[in-house]
Amino acid sequence: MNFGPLIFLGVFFTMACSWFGMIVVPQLQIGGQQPVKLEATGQMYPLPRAGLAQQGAAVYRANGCAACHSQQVRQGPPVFDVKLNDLGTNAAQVADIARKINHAAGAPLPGKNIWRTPVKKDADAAAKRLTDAGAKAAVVIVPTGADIERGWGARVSVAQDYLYDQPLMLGSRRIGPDLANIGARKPGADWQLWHLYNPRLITDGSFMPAYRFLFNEVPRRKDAPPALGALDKTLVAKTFPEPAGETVTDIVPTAEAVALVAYLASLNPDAPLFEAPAPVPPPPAAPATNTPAAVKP
Amino acid sequence: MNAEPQASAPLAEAAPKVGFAAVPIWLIILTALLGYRGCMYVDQFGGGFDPKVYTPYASFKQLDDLQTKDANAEMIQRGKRRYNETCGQCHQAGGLGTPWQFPPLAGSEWVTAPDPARLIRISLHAVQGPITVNGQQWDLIMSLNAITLGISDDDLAAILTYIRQDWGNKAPAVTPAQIAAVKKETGDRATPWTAEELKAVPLK
Amino acid sequence: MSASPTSPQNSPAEAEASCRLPLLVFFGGAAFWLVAASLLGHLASIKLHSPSFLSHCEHLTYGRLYPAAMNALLYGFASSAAFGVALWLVARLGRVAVPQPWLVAFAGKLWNLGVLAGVAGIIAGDSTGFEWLEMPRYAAVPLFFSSLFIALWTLLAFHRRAERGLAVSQWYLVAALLWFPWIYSTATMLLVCHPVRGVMQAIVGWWFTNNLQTLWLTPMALAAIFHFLPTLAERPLHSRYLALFGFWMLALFGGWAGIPASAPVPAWIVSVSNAAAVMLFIPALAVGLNIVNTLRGGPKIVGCAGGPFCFLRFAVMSYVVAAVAGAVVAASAPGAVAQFTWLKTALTHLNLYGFVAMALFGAIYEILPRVTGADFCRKFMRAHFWLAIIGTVIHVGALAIGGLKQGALLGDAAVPFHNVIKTSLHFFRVATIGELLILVGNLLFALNVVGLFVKCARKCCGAQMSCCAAEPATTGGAK
Repeated sequence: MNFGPLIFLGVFFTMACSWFGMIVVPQLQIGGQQPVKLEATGQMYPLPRAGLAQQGAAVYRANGCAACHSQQVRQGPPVFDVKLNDLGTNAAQVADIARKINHAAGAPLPGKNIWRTPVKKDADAAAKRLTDAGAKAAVVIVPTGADIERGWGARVSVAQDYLYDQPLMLGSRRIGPDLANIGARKPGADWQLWHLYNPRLITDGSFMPAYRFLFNEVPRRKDAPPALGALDKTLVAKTFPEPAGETVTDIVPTAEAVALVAYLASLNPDAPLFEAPAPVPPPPAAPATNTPAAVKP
Repeated sequence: MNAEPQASAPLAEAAPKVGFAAVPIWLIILTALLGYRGCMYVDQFGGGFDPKVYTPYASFKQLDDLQTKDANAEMIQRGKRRYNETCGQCHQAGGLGTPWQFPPLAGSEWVTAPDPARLIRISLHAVQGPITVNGQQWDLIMSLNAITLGISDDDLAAILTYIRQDWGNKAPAVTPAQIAAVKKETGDRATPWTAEELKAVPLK
Repeated sequence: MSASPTSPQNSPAEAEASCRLPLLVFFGGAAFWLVAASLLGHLASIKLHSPSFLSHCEHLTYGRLYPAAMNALLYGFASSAAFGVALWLVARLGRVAVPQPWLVAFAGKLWNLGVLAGVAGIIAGDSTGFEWLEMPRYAAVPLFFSSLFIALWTLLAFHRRAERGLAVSQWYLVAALLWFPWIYSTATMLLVCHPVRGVMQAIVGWWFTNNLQTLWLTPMALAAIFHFLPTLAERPLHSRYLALFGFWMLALFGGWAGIPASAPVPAWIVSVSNAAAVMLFIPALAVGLNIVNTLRGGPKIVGCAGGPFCFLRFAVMSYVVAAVAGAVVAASAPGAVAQFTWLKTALTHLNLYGFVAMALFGAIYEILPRVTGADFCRKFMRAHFWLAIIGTVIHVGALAIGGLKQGALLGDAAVPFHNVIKTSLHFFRVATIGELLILVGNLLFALNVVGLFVKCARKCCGAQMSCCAAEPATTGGAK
């Protein structure tokens, strides 16, 4: 029995199917994605990373950070909050309606959530009842899920978020926490740098390896001025006591460390999109792609 | 324990012999069942093969319903479309009309009056005869109106809202309820209005 | 080189002898990279246990060691050994001598050099950042061309076979030899050479990692199983039709699985992939049924003495268990409990160690003595077997249970993330013990292969035979 040609054709055909369905069709669908204009702010999303953050991505890649850290937020079905923005002129009637909508709710206050429901239609109807009574009410979409409750992101991650990631390092395991929005989650560049230098100075019992090769340890006499760009020790004063002798050691981040932290600061996909509705985030204090102000390379 | 074949046992033939037992029928049925499950799964969670649908959401329609929509903006969009299909033929897309033939809507006091009672009457039954628009004298023969065109109250409200809020006009929106009220007041009137008649209509 | 290219009619012994030189290169390289992968992998594991270990050394971060270990295992060991098994099966089943075997041996050397460059590149920080494709471009290009050459040359030998009838093993290996250059070139082109944008990179990456397992290593391991298990059991294979059915199910659905349930890609890609992952249960079931029915009622071979047969039988069990577990995980995908946890690692390792590596061990233990005329040390082989299966069971079992626990805790936002990791690392410690057993077993395997090469060299040189010339180069490669 010689089915050589048949096997050859079949093998070719099955692979061609998978190749077409899993590579060609997705490429046609989302391969040509472009930045979109956000309705809320009028800005384009996503914005390309600044040069320093782009260099930091290369440090992230070279050291294989993605082996332990994922960069994707999972989400469950959203719920809807009926939010009372203003009581209006007829406060008594509004309060009455609010109590009818949610028996457990106390006295309605402006800016308070009256009710949470998984059904958009119900939330809309409730908001309409309040609006008809003269109050100002709005329905706010709230994405759910453990990742979002942990504060790892505002909404589900979608293709649009990764348009400028090259290479794309989504990660497949969470040996460490997800980093999708680390830029918004942690206090600042100093925190990140200390954490990279030795995570156990910041978090007791952290399992993250130290990345001390990203820092120079510069000894100096105690009365000499600190080295240029040395990290501020007040943040870790408790866990990093100064030695008693004449010399102290300054911890100076290398250019790689500064770039890596700039990259981490640039991670914050929170813009509401059509495919991933979310509440409009508060405007950032400074553009996220910029170098953290505290760092002087 | 020592019944296992030795590594260098001579192999008599190049390939092992094969039997020809049939594929068990239950395996084929199981394959079909799992295949059916796969199709159902893709149908339920696949989002209709739409590139905009991501996992917690099931369909484009669901996502579309979730968008925070500005009801007024949507009404104006619809009004603009309907206006260009009907009124815009004479009054022009920019609302400036045509000199000596069709009066302008942009900046017209008839359009932008806070109470739309007169505007609704004009649009429902048309207006004829001498009239002052933007300080200019016109002698009108308005041939089309909403009733003869069969424009619904909803659409007419959208059109009127549009012409009252575009081209620099800033007047409150018109609701379908206001149009229905005017229709009730005017009954089965079919003749166009004159400027005098309109001026007799009280404004709130 | 007793084969003359114009007359492919050969006795099985002559045909087998023709691939001696390439096999020494492939299997020697495989043994070396297996040990290297185990050592790198173990070093990586230690870094998870004591995070300050080696933290001064830039080149030994976990994120470099673990990918280096996986690449050494996938390309250095598994793929290299698979090439060798394919070549031998083609020669033996087709009764055809491999033409110009030194060319294949040369390509095999190039392959090993490519892996060396790749692993060194990852450790030096040149990783591409794509899982299982971390090897930088300067390694990927020689790897692609040598694999293309090896595949084409093996297919050429297959084409010239004297025995025209096709055995079950041949379907699998011909298919895999066609698939591998396709998937490897697609992934390298679209990720490393002319990168696609954004999430498309992840899609191509998942497609590749899945296919590397499902459509390259799996069919190669199955080719070895379908040849050696019935032969060693001295029983006819139960059903050709069942084997055919399993083969086409694998071919049809294998290429579609692999996109994780939580991927940030349009939902249809995830759900289609999920449906296919569940379907992959069918080919595993077909293989399992076929092998069980083949072995049932044969000569008394239930007792296992740790020989090649035992390796192959354990491989079948692992394959079925991994496929069932994979299907169950996929079927429960809407909950996505298993995402981002050790469970995924457990299933991958079960597939790679428990199934692919075990099948390849069995094949190598059977093939090498036949082509060299020297014997393996049976004691080492037996010790390797027991270490490997006990190690695999402990390693995979601990990771799987730890992964499930980790998934459950990850899904509960009330549990701080630190506690999630603390809990899962308890299981990881147990898994490392299993890994250590596997490492010792792999060392014994490598020693055994080296010992066989030495024996062969002594024997051949004493008798002034032809294989002598090949020896120094090959053992050099294995060290």
